[in-house]
Amino acid sequence: MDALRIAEAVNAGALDPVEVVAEHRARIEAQDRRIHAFLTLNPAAEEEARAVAGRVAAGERPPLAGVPFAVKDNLVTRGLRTTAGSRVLENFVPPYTATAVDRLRAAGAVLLGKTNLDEFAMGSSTEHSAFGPTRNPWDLKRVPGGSSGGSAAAVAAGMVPLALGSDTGGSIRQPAAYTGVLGFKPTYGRVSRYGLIAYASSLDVVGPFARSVGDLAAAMEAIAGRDPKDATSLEAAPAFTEALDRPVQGLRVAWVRETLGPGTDPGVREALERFAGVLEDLGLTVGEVGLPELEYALAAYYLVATSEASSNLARYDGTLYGARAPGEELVAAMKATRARYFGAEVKRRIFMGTFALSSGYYQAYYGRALRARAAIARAFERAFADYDLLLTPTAPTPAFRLGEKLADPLSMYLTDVNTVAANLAGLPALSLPAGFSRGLPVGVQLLGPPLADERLLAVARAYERAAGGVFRRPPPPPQG
Amino acid sequence: MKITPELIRHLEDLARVELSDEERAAMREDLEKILGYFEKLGELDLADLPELVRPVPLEHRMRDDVPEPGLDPEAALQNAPEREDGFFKVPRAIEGE
Repeated sequence: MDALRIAEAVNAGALDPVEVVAEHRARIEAQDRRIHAFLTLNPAAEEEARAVAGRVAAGERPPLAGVPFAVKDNLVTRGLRTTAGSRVLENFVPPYTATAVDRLRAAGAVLLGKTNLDEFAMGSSTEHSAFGPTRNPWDLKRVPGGSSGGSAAAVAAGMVPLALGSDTGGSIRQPAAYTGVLGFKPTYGRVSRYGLIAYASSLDVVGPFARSVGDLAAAMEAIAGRDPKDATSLEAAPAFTEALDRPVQGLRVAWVRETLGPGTDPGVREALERFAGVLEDLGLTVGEVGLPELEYALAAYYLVATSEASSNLARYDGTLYGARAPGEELVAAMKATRARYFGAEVKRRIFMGTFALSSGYYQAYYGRALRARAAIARAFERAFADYDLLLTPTAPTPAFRLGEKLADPLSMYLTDVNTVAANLAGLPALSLPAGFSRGLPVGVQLLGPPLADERLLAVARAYERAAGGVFRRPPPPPQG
Repeated sequence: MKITPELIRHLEDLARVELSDEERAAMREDLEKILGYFEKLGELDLADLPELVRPVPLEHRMRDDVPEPGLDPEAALQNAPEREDGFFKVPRAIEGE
């Protein structure tokens, strides 16, 4: 059952939130041994559900009453272990809770557990988790994407109707596309980053996964808005639910030509053509626009992201919290701690970023990446002078096989080629299920100018209605 | 960009991560390949562009100067690898007595 239907039934007194928790726990037990979406289950979920039942009994009508949700394990939760998928935080129990999680709870939702991710959100497959990979519910031999692969897989497999992820270069949208669910990356600053374990602070955003546009909008309505605890959070008041039924007829949409190159899977291309046909039937005009600067987005992204990461991850030094390797002297202990408890991909990115920021290389690498970032932001500004929305495939191909790209980091990075530009420019972007290629889900990415988050959801809603829903349930996992 | 073993050692010091010999070899190979790909940024004419550090301008706000409860010392110390008398304890930072 989807989130809003659960909330409606709970608010009508027809459904007990404690039963909803039990039912979803049973689904997790039945499926998660094979999928491995969850790292930690919330032992207090029943207690939280009882508290929601009490609020409803007292006359309150919370918009997400009794809706079970999952949270990527890089959002801190007070009293509930938060690992970021890393050995360095394997036993870390946070003393506070992320704002987005607090706000979902305030809206009546019930936290079921914490989901798997690439270590510190650095990856595109969830294979870089220190606790083992998550599998794609559509094909257990394939990755669910990443880095928010656990949240995406949990929503796709029906273990929860709603989940939170984080998106630094596509970490919500790419797994949403690979698992056939909706994933939303809001405008930078629309959702507070307070309590999000930092990877690249000028790119990181928190956003939701869901199986319907209405649920996605309800989640955004709950989590968006200014937070005094995050100086980069924006004032803009959430109007997501209200905006869903805004007219979309006459909106000007364009494909980004550079994202439909020869590397794009033919099945992905066909699904996207059908998608564009539906938009035209709805009265939108669909054109094509060239953004040659996007060819440089991946290089600019990885330089900016790794530079910020090398600084953000300096805090894992074994002094105040997290794991510590033994050592007689402080610096030696720090070096040993970071050597022992960081995984290979995290080390690779720390070294890349350290290099890009180091004396003698700063201008040629980090400085140049920031100027390329400005060029990309301006290219988008020009495109949005002529178009209301841009379209790309979320990823060039459907989900790849486990292990397929592990030996070649650059081939893994290239799966993010269509998603990173939105983070560099701070734009809102949505991945919407748009069909299948050889039985695997395909996602289309909608991009808008800054603060046009609501417009993306209105178009997605119009498409969802015309298509009779966008989510298809994955096949049940094989027994045994 | 040629990545030398000396550069890898230098980055180990800067990043405070000690690599094994095997990791050093892999890191050299990976960085050369990845940074080689990044060099395509050199094709762009970026002369007149600013360094864009943040995608959305910050809305500068002051908050009222009202005292609020801070993190309880016990909560702050609960994840400490080592502690003593209400303090974090770390290995010796300065040589000698």
